[in-house]
Amino acid sequence: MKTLSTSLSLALAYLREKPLATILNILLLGLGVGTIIALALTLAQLEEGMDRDAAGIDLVIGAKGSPLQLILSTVFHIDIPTGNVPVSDAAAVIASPMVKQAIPLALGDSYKTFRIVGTNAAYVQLYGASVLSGRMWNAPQEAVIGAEVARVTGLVAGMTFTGSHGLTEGGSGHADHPYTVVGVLKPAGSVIDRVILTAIESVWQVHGHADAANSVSAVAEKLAKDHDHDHRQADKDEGKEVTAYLIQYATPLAAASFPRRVNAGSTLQAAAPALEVARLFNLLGVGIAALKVFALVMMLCAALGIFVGLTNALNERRADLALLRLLGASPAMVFLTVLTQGIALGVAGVILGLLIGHAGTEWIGATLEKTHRIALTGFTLIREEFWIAAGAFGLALLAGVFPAWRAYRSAVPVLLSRT
Amino acid sequence: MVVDIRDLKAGYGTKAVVSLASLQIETGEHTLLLGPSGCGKTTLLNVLSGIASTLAGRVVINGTALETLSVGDRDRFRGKHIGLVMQRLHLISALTISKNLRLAQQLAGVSVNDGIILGALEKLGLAAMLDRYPRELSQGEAQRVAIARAVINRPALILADEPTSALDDANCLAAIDLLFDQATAYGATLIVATHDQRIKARFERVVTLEPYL
Repeated sequence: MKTLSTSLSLALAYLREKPLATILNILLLGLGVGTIIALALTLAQLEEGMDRDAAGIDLVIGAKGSPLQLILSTVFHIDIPTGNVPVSDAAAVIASPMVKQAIPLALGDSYKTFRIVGTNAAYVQLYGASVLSGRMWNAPQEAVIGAEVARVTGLVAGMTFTGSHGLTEGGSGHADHPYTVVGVLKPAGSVIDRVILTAIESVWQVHGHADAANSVSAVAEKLAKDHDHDHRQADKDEGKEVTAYLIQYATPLAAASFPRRVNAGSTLQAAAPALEVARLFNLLGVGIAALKVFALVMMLCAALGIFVGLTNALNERRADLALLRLLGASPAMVFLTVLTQGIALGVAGVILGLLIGHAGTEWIGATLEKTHRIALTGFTLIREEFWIAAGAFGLALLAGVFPAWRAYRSAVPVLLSRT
Repeated sequence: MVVDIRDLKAGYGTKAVVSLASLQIETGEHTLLLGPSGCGKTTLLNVLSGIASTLAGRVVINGTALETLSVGDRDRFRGKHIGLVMQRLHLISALTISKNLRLAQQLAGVSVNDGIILGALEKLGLAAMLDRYPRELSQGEAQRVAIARAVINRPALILADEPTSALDDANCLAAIDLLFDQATAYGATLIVATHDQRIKARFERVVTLEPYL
């Protein structure tokens, strides 16, 4: 124990003696570890969040265009929609016996970058959300807001607001069609926290389809209970449009044929969230892999820096090593003193890396929250971090072993003869 | 008797550098090892301190035969019983003076005692230097600290290798006086190896080594 404490205090004194080299080595290792950790934290939370947001949605049906855009806009609400589709066109498709539930979405407006989603009660049930204060909407122009919306905008039940076109602030507004907040949802940890929900009729009303009685909600809700739909409903839906339907299959077998049938046989597009999310991560994968390689190179450079630093220090401090031996230090203690410098640099680099990684993720989260309403936090831990930290520490340790071994093997007379 | 050498042959690898039939040094004696460069003075000091192994013969220090000790035991023995003053290996630059002396106590396996450290430095007029780094000292001050380090563990034997070769006449004699005073104060036996003839007259015993052929 005494040997350990003596080695540690001597190693720290040596590191303090060369502050610039020490700080640079720690910084380099910290930046490498931090970059990889920030990437890992971001990816893990994005994947987890996307999985959660897309849970229970087997397919999305909307206007033709980019399937990824359709999913991003209707499931995650972070992109503009591909367009709208006539309710009458979709009615026959969602009436298929392979469809268990079709939740309509009418998008287009937002309030302070939070999307206004015209839908029905099934959307709230899909995310298992419930009302924290107030009640659910039961008439057009009534709105229920997600927990995050309430936190950021300060809206509470009883307050009114008007939506504006698009997803960004500053779009032209609908001052003549104000919404009244009637309820606030409990935090659900999913995308529903970040949207403003209203009856689909509200969206039609705001955009000039006043005949709310012919509601597509009614069609969809009825469909959920009974597939024996009335073809005359299609006539009533003439002129109405929705952005998309979130589909739940009646049977898993539907995944094999239903999307193909929709894409081939209608003016609609069908996209599966699971496939598109996987495709998104594949697309991101190249960039992420490049960043990971860059961070890995930084870590290797740091390890090399530690190795070169310790080897140079070893050559410069031959006199010190000889002196330690003359004063009674064993070869093992000399080994430990040199190795402890590598260990100390490794520990400091890993700690700095963890701080950089988590602070960086928090910063990315704050930025993304403002611009894309993506929830990301640095105040979380993932198992992958342990392996990253262990790997970085192992590299630093390895960088210290060779110089330490050389110090261990050096005979005192040889050390003395070279000083 | 502190040092008892018989039929010694020592060197590096298999090559003998020094040969000594017999040398006995009593407790408290001040002995000068004199001889030209390359005659084996440093090697003999290395043998006495357990740094170098003997090729033949027997070396007993303070009752312990060095050849019976393992490398680790010799390291510990040296830290505890032998004080060393080297010509160039003075102080660790990364540590303050007090930490240099504390390190010497830690490595010798004795309890760290700041009182002893301060006392040793006071005797050498260095009490104010406790928190300074070696680079902040003059050469003379650094050498006095090295002497303090050699005596704080109260060694039975102090070995000094060319302690005066880099000093001018005045500092040379002052350094030797200091070594004598400290060895006497701590009851230690002193062996100085040098080719410096200026200090010959100060020693009651001079052992001249001849180059080994």
